[in-house]
Amino acid sequence: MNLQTNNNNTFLGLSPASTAVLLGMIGLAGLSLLTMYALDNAEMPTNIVPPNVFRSQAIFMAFSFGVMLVVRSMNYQRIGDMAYPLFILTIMLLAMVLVFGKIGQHVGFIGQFFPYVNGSCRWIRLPHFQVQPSEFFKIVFILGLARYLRYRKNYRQFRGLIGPFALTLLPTILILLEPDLGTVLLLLPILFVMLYAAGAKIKHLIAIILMMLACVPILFAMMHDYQRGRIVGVLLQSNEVRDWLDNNPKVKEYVYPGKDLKQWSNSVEGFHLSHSKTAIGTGGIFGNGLGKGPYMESSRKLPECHNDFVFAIIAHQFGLFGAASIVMFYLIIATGLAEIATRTAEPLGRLVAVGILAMLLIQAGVNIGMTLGLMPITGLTLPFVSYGGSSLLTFFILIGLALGIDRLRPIQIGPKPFEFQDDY
Amino acid sequence: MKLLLLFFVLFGLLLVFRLVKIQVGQYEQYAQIAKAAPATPMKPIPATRGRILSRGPGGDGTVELVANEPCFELAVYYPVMDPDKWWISDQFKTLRKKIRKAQNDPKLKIPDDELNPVLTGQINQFWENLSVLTDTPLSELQATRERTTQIIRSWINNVHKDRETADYPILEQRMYYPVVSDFDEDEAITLREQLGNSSWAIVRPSTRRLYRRGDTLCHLLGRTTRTPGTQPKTFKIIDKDYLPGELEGISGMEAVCDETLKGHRGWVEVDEDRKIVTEPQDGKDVVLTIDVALQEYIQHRLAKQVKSLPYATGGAAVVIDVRNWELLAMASVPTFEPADYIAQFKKNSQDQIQLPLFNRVLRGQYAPGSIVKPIIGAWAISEGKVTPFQTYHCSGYLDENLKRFKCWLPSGHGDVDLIHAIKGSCDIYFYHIGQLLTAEGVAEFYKKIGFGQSVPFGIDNEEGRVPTQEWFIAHHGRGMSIGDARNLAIGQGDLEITPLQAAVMMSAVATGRYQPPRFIVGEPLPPGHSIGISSYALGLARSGMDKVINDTDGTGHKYGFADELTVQAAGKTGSAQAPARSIEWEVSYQDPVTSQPVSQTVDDLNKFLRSAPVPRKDIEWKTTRSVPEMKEEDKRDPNTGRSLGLAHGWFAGYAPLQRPKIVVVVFIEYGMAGGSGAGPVFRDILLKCQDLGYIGDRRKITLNNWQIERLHEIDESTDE
Repeated sequence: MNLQTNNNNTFLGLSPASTAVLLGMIGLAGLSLLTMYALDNAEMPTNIVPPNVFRSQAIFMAFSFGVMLVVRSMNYQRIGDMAYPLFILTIMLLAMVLVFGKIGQHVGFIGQFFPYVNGSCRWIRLPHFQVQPSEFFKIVFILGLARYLRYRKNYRQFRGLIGPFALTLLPTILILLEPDLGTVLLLLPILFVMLYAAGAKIKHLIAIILMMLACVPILFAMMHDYQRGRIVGVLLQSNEVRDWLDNNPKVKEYVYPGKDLKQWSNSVEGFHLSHSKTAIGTGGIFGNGLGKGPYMESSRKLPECHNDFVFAIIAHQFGLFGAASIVMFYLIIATGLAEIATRTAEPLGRLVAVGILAMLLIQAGVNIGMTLGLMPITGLTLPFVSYGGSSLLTFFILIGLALGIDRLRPIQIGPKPFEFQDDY
Repeated sequence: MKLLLLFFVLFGLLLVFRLVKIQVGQYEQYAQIAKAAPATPMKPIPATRGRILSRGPGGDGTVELVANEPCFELAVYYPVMDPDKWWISDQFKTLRKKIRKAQNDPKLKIPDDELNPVLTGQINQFWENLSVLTDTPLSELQATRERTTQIIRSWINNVHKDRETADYPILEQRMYYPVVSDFDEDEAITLREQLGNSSWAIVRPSTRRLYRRGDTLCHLLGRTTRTPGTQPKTFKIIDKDYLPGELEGISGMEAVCDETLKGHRGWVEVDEDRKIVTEPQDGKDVVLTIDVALQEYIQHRLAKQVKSLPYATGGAAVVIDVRNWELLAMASVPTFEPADYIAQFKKNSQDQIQLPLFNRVLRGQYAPGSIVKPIIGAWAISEGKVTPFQTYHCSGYLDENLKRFKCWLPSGHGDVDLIHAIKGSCDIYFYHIGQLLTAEGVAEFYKKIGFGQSVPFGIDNEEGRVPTQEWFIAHHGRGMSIGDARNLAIGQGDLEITPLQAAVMMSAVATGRYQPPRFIVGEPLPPGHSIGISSYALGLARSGMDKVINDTDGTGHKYGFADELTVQAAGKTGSAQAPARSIEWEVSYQDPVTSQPVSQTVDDLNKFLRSAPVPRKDIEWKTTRSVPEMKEEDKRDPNTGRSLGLAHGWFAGYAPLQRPKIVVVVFIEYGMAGGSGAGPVFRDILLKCQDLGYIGDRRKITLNNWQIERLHEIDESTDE
């Protein structure tokens, strides 16, 4: 009997699922490096794109790839054991960023380490690099939630859902105060997906969603004006809505207070959105070509085109084919992650894999949706493609975790969890 | 898990759907936004308009008819014509700076309301200065300003209509548009000095049309104008449409070939790099099939002939090469100087007698008279209505008792068959033919050979008129009778054709095909068709036309025949009775307000009727003045005592007889007779064609005895 028969269809010792994940990731990373290279050569003004983005991004990627390999080789269950301490540590970091950030606005010495940038304090600045704790919280959140949910069954009842929600609520409030709306928008859907995967009843989840929707007006009223402007911006794209608001000044004063609708496209969110859509639209079917097109060649520039709006600049250069292939790469990774999750009977691994899948797809979806004007503009990056070390490292670590789960796939002795088929 | 994946795949599909909508569905729109945005200001590089050439003498080489010459134009920055909020706020900033500096108070607060009248005053002053500098009335400048503003405003609306970001000026709002054109170099230099450093107006080079050969082909060439710009249909306004102040062809060849001639303008970015975004493509030249030597000769010869005839007011001639259906010449006299069109316009347009601006070849509609006889006779024979041997007796009148339906020859032609009827242009024979064919039959045949509809050859031309039953009822209050059939058969009776239609008809006699000619080298031929007359019948008509010229007693022999001609020509004379042209009317009607009868004299009846205060049916009018006026002694034939009227002279034919190469039609308005009026021109055109090598060979041949004998006969008959 040959014990190796299970592995005869593998690639470099990887299972097909892992191969799919890696291939999708390499495709995205390749597109990212190509774009950074083009941006370097396009001689963008430094206030829009920092110099040498290609070199930095390549270094970040190489480093993150190494970290990923290390994480893969680790036993994820050992990491899972550390989930709660990590969770608490990260929450402390978040609180620290928040507190010192606010103080730092007034005290220069502290402000050096906790800078207040673009109206929010999210960063810890150390010599040569800066760290964004809310990025790493994404990993810890998935681990902590998976750890909490792995053997419990009481979330089959409505009351049992209070625990996981409490686990989400505290960091949510902290991040919301920073403020970092994008990350908050990310956490709740991940919670729902993981609860669903763990076997919570759909009707309970829907009930909670409805309850939260009822709270939306209150939340909306509590928001900053600029946050409100971003959310309303999705609707303000359309001329009809703007005309209608012009005729209904009371509604307009509520959703878009103190601003002139005629000047909408000169406002921050309107400017970003209209330029992003124009950049995508001018890509056409086949694109303008690498480093070509009005947004690369002329003095017309798309702000944040290396970072949050990198999707727009890729669609500008490579057209519908390039843009659709990004969506395809994500779906390939998702298929691989789903395969890993399905084939892992061990509950912690399975939940972590589902969490990673949800995190990756939701963040990518929100980012792409925002460049297309389907979602409000948030600071969420495009995983594996956007420029930036924190974001790259986070997602490489997450993928490392998933690959580690696929590598080990421990045999579960005893009854399988998640056999609640009634909801499917 | 499947449900989850399905959800994500659906979300992915939603994203792709939105991508397709933006990148495929709205691509044009976003491309326009990217182009129209002021981020990269551009200015157009004008393309040079193509030249209009024609063939050289004998069809060799090309000769420039219309070319370009450099000139200068004064262009004004669009915001000065139509200030927009962005420009105004920029101007306010400059003004504030100036005032603060003048008052030495850098923090002085000046509200916009105070600056507004200052800026308005500056703009008004600017326009007044321009008016003085360019020596143009202010009202004219304001009219140009208004026209340009109107066009650009409609463009702005077009661009902004579907646009989500309408908060910057479009490209066309930041360009200069010409208000006064056609400066010479010294004028431009002076103007530049006077304008100084102002960014509101610039003097820039431009081109204007140069007419190399005076009045040659002036009616066909047409005119260009500084266009007010075109109203775009979509937001795509850059490439296809005219910007205000560009040269646009508005008539004649300039309009017909506008797409070819105008080329494509280029675009250059207005910054330090001066990067050319689009290279301009100059317009392509158009080569006409017209032989410039033949055309100039014909214009000259026609003008001379018109001058020599007592009543003639104008003339036209068409030459078609029926081997390749190319138009060799197309002349209408009197002519005008296209270069002085505007300066001379008043004089030319008020000349009601000569009508120099009127292109008689395409626009003149005249009764064809006897030149239709060969083809209608051939048709009757081809249809079997008469046999070639059938003769009719001509005694000068069809109806001897009532003295109605007379022949032009009072003594009569005797018994004539088709060939002799054509040769002597006997009206009686063709009265019989018309009677046999019936009025409807004749009218239907005329439609078949292209009368009553424009010649579909690329230039707009008149339809002429073939009277129908309905037309008769509407205009004469009765249907067509047998008498009308007779009149139609001799080319009279409300039948009207253009000289071009006559030429197409004559080429149908020569070749058996209805074929509109072409006038641009290399263009495909317009579709033609066979006219469906048997070649035997056409042969009879041709031999009749041969006898018209080559028999000593043919109606055209005396004027149309030339010994120098080495080939045999065939032709037909035509003298079409025509009423004098009314140029002044007295109209009377009842005033709708005061109910008093009003009577007044008008120059242009149609114009008056269009704008009359009462309906058309309530107005009565009568001609008070018409041209040309006949002298009393010419109104009656001194020999026979018959009364005479005004008549147009036609001479249509082709050469050589056996293998037709060219078709020539000559028309003299009020030339009184085809033979004496148009015949000499016809003959001279044939000789010129021979000179140029279109027919025969250029060698002179020695005359044989028989020809010399005939020459004496001619001399004797001329001496009488």
